[in-house]
Amino acid sequence: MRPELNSMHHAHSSPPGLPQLSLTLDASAAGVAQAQQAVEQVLTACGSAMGTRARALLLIEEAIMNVAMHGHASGTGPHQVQLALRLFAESIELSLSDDGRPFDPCHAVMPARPTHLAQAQPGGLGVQLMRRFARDMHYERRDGINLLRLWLDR
Amino acid sequence: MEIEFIEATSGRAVIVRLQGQLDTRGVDQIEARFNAAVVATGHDSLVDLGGLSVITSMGIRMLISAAKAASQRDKRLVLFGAQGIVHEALDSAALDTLIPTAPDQPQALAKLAR
Repeated sequence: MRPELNSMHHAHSSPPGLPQLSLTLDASAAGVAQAQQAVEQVLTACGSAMGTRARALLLIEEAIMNVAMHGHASGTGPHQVQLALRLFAESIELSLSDDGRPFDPCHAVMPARPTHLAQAQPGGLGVQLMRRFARDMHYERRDGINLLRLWLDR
Repeated sequence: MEIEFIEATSGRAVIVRLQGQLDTRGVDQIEARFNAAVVATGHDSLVDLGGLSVITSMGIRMLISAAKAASQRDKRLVLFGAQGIVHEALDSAALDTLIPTAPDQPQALAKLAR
């Protein structure tokens, strides 16, 4: 059983100067807002540029909303995700874990891009944006848990 | 950051200026007003994205949905002013193949005039 955390905390298992963030959130728009506020605080305190913060906020929304909208059968919510942030000298690592359906955004086949407005259908944009704005992505599934890690330049 | 919605007119076109984050929460806050401004009025519309700091897939979806609804009423919607990460996101979605885009308001107005 994965550990549950009832409140935001800063873990200090990393070397000094590399603060971590670890949250348990609802997979929902409210959870996204909570995560974004906490991540923005950490990144602002560490002097991250506005563009970096904006990328992090976008990646957080796309990853959490993907779970909210597609991770579980409708009507079975609310569900939770765990978000962690680690800072390295050159990069920021965002980790998201959930117990939803298996989904690998690194290798999922995206729908063909529409060429006319009338053809445009919802779906696939979130994963596209994650691939565009994350410098690197890694997915694995272990013991029924999805773990997605995203890296962006610091 | 809250999303802000500013409505103006230029000739026969409605101009909507968006400021803040057009993410899931931002869309929830303004989608009804946005659709009322760019679809229900029966005018062509310009949408100024210059004040946005972030646009997510939900925000892009809102723009596409509004553009489709306007098109069904034979009205046009032109986006302009996207910068930085917003411009990158729209480029990633190849949105300019679906909705006319321009770097600034004069060029956006010129697209409406064609």
